[in-house]
Amino acid sequence: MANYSAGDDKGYEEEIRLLLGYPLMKRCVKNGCVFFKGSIEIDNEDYKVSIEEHPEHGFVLELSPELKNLQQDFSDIMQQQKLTSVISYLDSLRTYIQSKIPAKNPVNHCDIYRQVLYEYSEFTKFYLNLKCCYLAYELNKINITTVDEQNREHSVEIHIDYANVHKIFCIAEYDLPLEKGYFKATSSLRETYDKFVGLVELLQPFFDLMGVFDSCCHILDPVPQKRMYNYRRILIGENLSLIVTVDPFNVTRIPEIKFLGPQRQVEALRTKMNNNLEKWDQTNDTFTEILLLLGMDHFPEKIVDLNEKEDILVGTGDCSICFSSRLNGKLPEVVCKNEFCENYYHVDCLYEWLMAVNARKFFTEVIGNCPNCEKSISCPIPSV
Amino acid sequence: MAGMSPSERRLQKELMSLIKEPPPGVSVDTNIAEQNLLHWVIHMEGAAGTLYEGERFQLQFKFSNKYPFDSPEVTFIGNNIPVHPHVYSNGHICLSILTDDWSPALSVQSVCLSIVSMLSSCKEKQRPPDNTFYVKTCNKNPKKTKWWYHDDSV
Repeated sequence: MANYSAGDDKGYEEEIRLLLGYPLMKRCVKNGCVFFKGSIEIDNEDYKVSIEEHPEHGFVLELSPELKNLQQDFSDIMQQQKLTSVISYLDSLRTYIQSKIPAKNPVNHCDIYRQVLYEYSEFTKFYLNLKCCYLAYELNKINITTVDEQNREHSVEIHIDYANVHKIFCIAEYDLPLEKGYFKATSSLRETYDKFVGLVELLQPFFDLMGVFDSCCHILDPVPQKRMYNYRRILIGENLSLIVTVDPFNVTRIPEIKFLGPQRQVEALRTKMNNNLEKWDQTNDTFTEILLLLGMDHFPEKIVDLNEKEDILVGTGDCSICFSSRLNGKLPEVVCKNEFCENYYHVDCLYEWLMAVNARKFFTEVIGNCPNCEKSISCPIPSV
Repeated sequence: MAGMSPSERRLQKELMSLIKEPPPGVSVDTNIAEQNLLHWVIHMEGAAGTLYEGERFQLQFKFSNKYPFDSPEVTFIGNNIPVHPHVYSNGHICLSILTDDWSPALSVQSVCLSIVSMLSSCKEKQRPPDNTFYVKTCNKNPKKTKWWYHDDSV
């Protein structure tokens, strides 16, 4: 047992060897017992170790919790060897842990970073019509803005997923009428971007049509008119609007049109539209065709009456329950059929009230009384 | 109005409308309402040409956070409780729209107008016949009372 004291040559030598071999281990004396405490490094990982130099039992080892299962086995082996030097003890421990814990194969991010940087610089050289292009400082995303043939800007955010080395580039944020997860991850930045640009090109007729709506009509919803929305709610009368839903990839097809307003006006419009359905001409301009379908020359122009609206408690088209127009992004959609009432309600508001007064459910609807005129009213059951 | 619940938004809108364009003879105490949006005090004047001409009353509105799905609790408060066959001397009002016939399409303004017209149509100033018994036995909250709406004419 090396029971050395300061000044002892052997003690010095061992202390220096400890410092060189295990710089994170420290010898200390506590209550007359000698301890070696600290950590040892094995394959770039640090393991906490505490060894007591016990006068009778030799070295007594204590390992950190994640290595507790190795502690007893190793101590048993060491019992037979009766080592006297703590250096040899630590050497054996290191060899033992190395043999038990497989070395992790560290991922070399440098190569991937280099590849990303290379792809990015090639990318910026290749495309000339990029309005702005920028790689995040953390190298985790690329933001690109491009301009299409009609001078419309399109932005896309491409995420770089280092956990998925073989398909590292993925389009994450965009303003296109596509469902989430439309784009698949790829290994090439150019390929990823080409897919995006290809779609933007394919959707040109859709952007054109929506642009005409937005410039010629009073749009109630959506606000603001992002490109991801393939519908427009257009004001066509004081208390009357329609929702036109377009197939983004096939704009010349007859769009879905839903009227919202007092029943008699809605029915008159619907009849007119049904009579005109046959005349739909796919080869003609879609906007003109929609007007022909509705039997209208033009849509009413934009009305700017925001200041006036502030003072009115319940404005035209506002919900008569919550007294507002937009609730959780939705506009009032249910209109009382009583022509002397014709009040508007949000589906959510009316449903909540009708359920509170025990109205009866009937398939996909709830039927009760209009909160305003008490005549019968039906409300679709809101989808959760 | 961002960050408000639909209920708070509606109350805020009603308050602004009542301050800007109050019905004749009605004014809201803005100090009290601005401190707590769920508690309003409204000053009301007896309409000209009625039994209550020249009188001033105070109405208290208490709202729950379920308003407008839940009706407001409305009572007369202060020194002058109108003497009326549907108004008890503790301020409770027997008016069907305040309980059974409440609808979320009603508003503070429409309730005030109903109360003004209820007072205006009165032909003889008197307390309800069961006033003494009711005031002794009733709950503090008039919404807990099971009302019998006996007379629609007044």
